Amino acid sequence: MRYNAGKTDVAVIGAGHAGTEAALACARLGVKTILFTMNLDSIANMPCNPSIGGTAKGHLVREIDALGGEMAKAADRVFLQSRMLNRGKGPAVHSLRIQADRRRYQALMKKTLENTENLSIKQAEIVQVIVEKEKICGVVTNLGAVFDAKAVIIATGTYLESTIFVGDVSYSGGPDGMHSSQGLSACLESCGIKLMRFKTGTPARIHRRSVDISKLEVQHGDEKIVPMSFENNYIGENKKDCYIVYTNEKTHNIIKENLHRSPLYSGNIHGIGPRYCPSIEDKVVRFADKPRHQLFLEPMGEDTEEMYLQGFSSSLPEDVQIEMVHSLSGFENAEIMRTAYAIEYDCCDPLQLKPTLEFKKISGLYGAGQFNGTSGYEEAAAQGLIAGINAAFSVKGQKPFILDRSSSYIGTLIDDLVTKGTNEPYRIMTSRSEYRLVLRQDNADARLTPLGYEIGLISESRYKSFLEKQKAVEAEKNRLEKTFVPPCIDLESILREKNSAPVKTGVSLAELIRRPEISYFDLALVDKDRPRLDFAITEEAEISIKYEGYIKRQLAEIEQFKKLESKKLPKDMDYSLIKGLRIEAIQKLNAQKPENFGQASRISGVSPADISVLLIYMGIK
Amino acid sequence: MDTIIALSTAPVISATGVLRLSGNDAFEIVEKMFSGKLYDMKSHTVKYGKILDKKGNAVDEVLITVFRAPHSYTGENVVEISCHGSPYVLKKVTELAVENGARHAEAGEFTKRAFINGKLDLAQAEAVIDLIEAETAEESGIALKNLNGDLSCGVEKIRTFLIDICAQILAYIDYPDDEIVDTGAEELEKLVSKAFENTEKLKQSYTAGRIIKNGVSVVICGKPNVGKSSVMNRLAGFERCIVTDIAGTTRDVVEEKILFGGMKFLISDTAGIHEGTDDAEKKGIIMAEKKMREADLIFFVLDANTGIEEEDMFIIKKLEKVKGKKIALINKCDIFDINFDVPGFDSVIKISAKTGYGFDLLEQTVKESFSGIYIKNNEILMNTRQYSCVCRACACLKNALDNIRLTPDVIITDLEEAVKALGEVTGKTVGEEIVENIFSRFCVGK
Repeated sequence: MRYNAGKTDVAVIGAGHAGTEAALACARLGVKTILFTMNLDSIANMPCNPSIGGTAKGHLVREIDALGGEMAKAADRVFLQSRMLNRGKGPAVHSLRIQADRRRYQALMKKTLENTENLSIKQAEIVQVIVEKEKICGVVTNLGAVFDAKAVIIATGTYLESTIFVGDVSYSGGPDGMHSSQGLSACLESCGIKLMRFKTGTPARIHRRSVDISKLEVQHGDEKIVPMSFENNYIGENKKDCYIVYTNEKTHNIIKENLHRSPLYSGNIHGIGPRYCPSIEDKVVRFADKPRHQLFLEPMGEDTEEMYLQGFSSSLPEDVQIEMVHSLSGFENAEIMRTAYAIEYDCCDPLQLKPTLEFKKISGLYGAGQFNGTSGYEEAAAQGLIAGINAAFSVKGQKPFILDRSSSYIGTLIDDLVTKGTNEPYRIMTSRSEYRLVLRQDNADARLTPLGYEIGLISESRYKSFLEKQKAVEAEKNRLEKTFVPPCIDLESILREKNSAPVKTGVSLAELIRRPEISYFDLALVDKDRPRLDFAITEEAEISIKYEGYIKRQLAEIEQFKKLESKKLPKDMDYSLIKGLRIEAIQKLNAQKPENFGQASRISGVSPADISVLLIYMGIK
Repeated sequence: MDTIIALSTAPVISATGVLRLSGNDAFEIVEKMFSGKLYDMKSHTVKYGKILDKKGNAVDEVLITVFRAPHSYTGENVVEISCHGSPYVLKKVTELAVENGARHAEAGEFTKRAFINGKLDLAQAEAVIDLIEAETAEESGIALKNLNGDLSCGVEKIRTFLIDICAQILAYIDYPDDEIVDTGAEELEKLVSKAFENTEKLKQSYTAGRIIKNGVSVVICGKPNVGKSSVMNRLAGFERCIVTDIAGTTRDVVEEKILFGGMKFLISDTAGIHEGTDDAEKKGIIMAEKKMREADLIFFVLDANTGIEEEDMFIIKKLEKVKGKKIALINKCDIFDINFDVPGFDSVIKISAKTGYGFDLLEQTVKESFSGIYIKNNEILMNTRQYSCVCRACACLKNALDNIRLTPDVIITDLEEAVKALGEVTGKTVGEEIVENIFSRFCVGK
């Protein structure tokens, strides 16, 4: 029996990291939104690592924050430990990561959702989307409730027709003991959506008291903590430590002897897993010459003794897992609280999406998060935010909001997905961006907050303080350029200590900062009139002075990039009519119908020669 | 793609002339005008038959060679028709093919298709052009090597070496938790230096490539009326320049391409250098000086009659800063046989432009000075496009070395730019490749 349960502007299917950001963005932009989740107690769950951020992922979180998303703010409130990774490797790749209190994160997110105007939260499984004349009309729950909707965002994570694998045991099920979502996949396929089958996995959770922590290496958090959100200045101290432990020959032998019992090697798992997040058995096989692999023991929360064993994900049988864990030093008597598993699930081929994350063929239907073939909470949240903004904009009749590759890691992520596609769970990395020196985590606000304000997700007061910060950065840069230091004993000793060439005449502070070996901080002694400024301000001033030449070069490249991006390609173009294009290029171009030349040039299978042909055909060259 | 046709041999009367067709319908088109069948022919086989016009009259007796896609030069279906070499017959057969659906090929279109279909990369495609235009044994030898992929291979070697460095750095950046070892500034400097040296070597091979392709540029200079133009005429083997007894007869730069000792030379005769009297002569002198700076080889002509005079010293002074090899030629030795030393010159040779005396020795000297360039390099850059790509790569690597003490996020931008520039030599692109490389080489996990 079906019944009409009412109307909404936007329906969001799934309340993970993509779904929550999407729902919050929609509701905050003033459109009526319903967020559906299969279990209210699983909102914003972290079924894998209890951590947020990391290389490039930290960039995403800061960009989400700069646009007015929620993830960074929530992370700042429930962090257990915070570290800025890659400190010695340059400002472009500094990446913030926190260990989060998993349960508190969920509770906080749920409360935030509950307190948001225009937003309803419902525990229900969506089993069907209603599509009429290539347009989305609504969703149907497993209990027969029909909700009319102008836009629908699918953020189903790893739940679609998901199967759990532990050794030779497999069963239908979702992450963290949830059940899998049945039926929606079939409905999507009947709407003409192409689905893929991906796989991922998670390691065992260990009872802290059963581990001899004294045998492990401690990893502390940073002394000086940088908040995730640009809204915060101080977020408190580290509350927990992480620990490092290594696999050994014994561990590797156990794995090798039992490989035949892994569903990956026996061929029972068909889904494609992420190469960069391999299971421990995968690592042992692929890197046979490595005598050991590094693992981390991470806290799951303040109210629990459960610990996450990062780097040890596995789909070997439970008895083998127990043996493997016991082979680690300090883990001789360790108790496994949750067994590691692999999970296989349905996701869509993201080549079917526009840069707004709307399906090309079904107007009003959007995809976000792992459903789009990505992996990771941060990647999911970023897409949720963009899908949410665009769904709300389409309901309100506003122009789409698209971030390009040169603007952000979010733009890079989405462009990669919708133009190159992916054949494994996609993870963001700094190596995916061509414009690393411009797309830094410290300047995410400078890059995106004006846009967030324009969209309507950044409040008036926050925008004001953003402008003040930018003004302060400019003022400090100017001061550094214009303040000259005469040669003196203090300067001499600084330069000597830093192995830097001595100066004969007066030199500006900026000139000194441009030297690779000298930092802003080093010059405090000779910079008598230095104002007291927030670290965020001096950091940005210092980076933009020190790396000026390189930044200018990348900005010039961005200009070049934008030229190709601005050359539009007609949506209804039949590429088979163009003489000189190769057959593979014709097929790819016809299938994807890129929006512009830049996008076309990034499609795999479209060569530079094809682009020349296309330029000639379009009479542009 | 549509089917194109062109004459592959020269459009002159000759024993045979070969027409080549390439495209989807090459076989069908030829079959419509051929006495035999093509569809049952195996790839790379030959058939004898007649080309027939619309009324069924024989136009020529021919041999047909069939190449089936993708095993052909262009990667498409290709038919070669060997006709008798009459321009009329060849024109007639071409017309018939066009009537049956082929179209006239544009210049370079066969090679372009080979590139588009991935049969050749850019450097190889360019080698095809060089091979066709080759005028000396060295030139064709290098073009053939480049067509075989020698240059592409050499460039590719440096490029993959750089991609490996990039992958190491990026893996180190992207996986801070894994035990990926920092390459370290010193080690990195070593690696980048090595790449820089190899790229620089490649860059320098352009001097050889340019000389082999365009010839050694020789500038004949000297004060007025020492017989520069007579030397030029002797080298050219005919009266290329007007020779008079009046000083300052040559005002413009006169150029001539000659083969001398099996090598190509581009010889320029210049206006005599002195404090010019009229505007035209002054301009000629400015041009002469510019030519001298760019030359690979300078022939400085002196007069045996006068020995080294003040005017000669003026030029010798100017030549001090010139990079090219310098040979002093003491002319008019048929009249005065005299020995004197010329400071700052690689060699001094006594000649007579009038009798040809000393030109054997000159030929030998020149040959010896330039024979080295042929054997020094395996990969030789022959065109300016390739050269400018390699120059860009060099500049990036130099910059990376200058900034090696800066952080890896900065160094990698220079390395990636160099990879891109080298990729342009062969027409490859990067991006994904570097990312891919990380996974194949490192143990990573999060």
